[in-house]
Amino acid sequence: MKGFTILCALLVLGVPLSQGALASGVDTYQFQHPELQSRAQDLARTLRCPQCQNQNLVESNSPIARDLRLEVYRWVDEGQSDEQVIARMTSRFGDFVRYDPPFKASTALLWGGPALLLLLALARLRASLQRKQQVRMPLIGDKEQGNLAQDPRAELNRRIMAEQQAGLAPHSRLYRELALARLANATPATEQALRARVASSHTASRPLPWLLLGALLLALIVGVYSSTGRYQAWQAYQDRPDPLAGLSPRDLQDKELGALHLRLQSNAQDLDGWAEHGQLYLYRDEYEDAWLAYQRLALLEGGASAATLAAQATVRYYQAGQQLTPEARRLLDAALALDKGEVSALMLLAADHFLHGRYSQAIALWQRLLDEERPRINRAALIQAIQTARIMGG
Amino acid sequence: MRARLRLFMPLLLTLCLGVLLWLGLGNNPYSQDEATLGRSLPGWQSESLFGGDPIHTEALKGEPFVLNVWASWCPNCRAEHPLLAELAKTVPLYGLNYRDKGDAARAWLEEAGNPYRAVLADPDGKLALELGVYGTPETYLFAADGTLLTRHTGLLTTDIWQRQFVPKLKAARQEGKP
Repeated sequence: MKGFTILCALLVLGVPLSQGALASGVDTYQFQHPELQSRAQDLARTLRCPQCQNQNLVESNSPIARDLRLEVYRWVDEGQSDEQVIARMTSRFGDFVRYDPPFKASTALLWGGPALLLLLALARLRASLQRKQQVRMPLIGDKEQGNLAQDPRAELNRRIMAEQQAGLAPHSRLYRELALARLANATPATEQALRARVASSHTASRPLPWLLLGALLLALIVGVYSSTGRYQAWQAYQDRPDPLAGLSPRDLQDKELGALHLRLQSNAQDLDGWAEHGQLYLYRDEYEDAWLAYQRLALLEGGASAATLAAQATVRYYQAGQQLTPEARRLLDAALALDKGEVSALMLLAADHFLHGRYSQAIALWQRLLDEERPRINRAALIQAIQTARIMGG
Repeated sequence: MRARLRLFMPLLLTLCLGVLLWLGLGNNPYSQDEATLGRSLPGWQSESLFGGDPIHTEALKGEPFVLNVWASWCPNCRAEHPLLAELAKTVPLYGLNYRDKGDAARAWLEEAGNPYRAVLADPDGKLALELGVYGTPETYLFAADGTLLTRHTGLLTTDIWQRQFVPKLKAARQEGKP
């Protein structure tokens, strides 16, 4: 919340922030598949933080939002589809975490309400229009129809007389006179036919405005829908369905692991193979196996290199639940003693600083990594991380 | 008369909507969300707060039980503690110590009494994340096979327990007895 407020303040003050910094949010997660990063962030942005209800997972700085954000990143990185991630989130926290609740019995009113109200309004509009129509007198003696009818006032006359007559006894003189006068004023059959024709032609032309209104509404709805870009997104999704969508992340990893095993069996001296092996196990939270793989790597190297030591420290760090245990600390120190600028070691230290809110120290380390211009660094991600840490109070 | 009634229709409708929204304000959007109910307790191995063997969530199953998420830094957890001591006499009660320091948690239980059969330590909130905890205290009722029957977020009161938990607990126990 605080970070967000500061961000708003910066924006208001006109401090130029790159779009990247705004879009990235907190990124301590290292994507195995960097091309998935933006999809993962977009997805996290569509999920609501359960704790601070007016922020999404990317905006919120609460610890639970951070953990959930990283979970979402991890799941996407593992190859899960958006639907799978959303299903996992809702099974934990309920539909509440979605800004876009699904249609079901309990949300029927929410989704159907607007349509219902629209129908209701249309029905009322129609009814009131029709009522006005009924009051209007049909046209007679219209010039276009030829001057067939009698004086239009005759109709009025007839009505007045009928009304007066109604209040009288049928046998009285006045009643009879009025009846006679009414008869004299009665609308001739020709005019009645004409009236019927005029009325029917009038009602026949009525559907046109309704059609127009309907078409206008339809056009409006289509316009709004097409401006949301949902259709394009759906089309893009339809065009390239994920070929691996059906496979669980575990299966995918198992395949990768199987391939690695084959590779190592054919060449046990494959240093890169062992390193990948360790990393894969680390991602699977199988720390003992990861540890074993890195030990083999150290043996093959003939005394662990700085990178291997740093990797071992990372294993111990995550094994202890993101804690710098004494052993992890010792391994880190050893790695840094061999190579002062070892990337994994410094990244681990910086991540730990960041996790514990020591933003300035994290920034200093990331800055150093940027300055030393080593290979295998995601500079964009580092710059974003630094900007985020600054916003959060570094 | 009817015309006058019609005149008041918008006002009445607005009032109805207002009442509806007002009632909605009191709803807890999480507790009764059917999307979370019926899922099962995640399999998870946790350290015990009091040391000794780690506890696997599998070991909690067997009969309907209550899992209470608490922390020593959480005032509402302290407030509901006496009620928990009462409940522990009627139902197996387990604790999940959430993002807490072990020493502080143990000190609090020593001071206030320990109503829990066992307490799973979750210092970094990982198990809680699996469960879907978003704040403390939270109280979950699970069936014997670990199916989530109901949950409550926030201070547990006798009233809520009687109204929301007891019927489900009774039903679950009935089911257990063929």
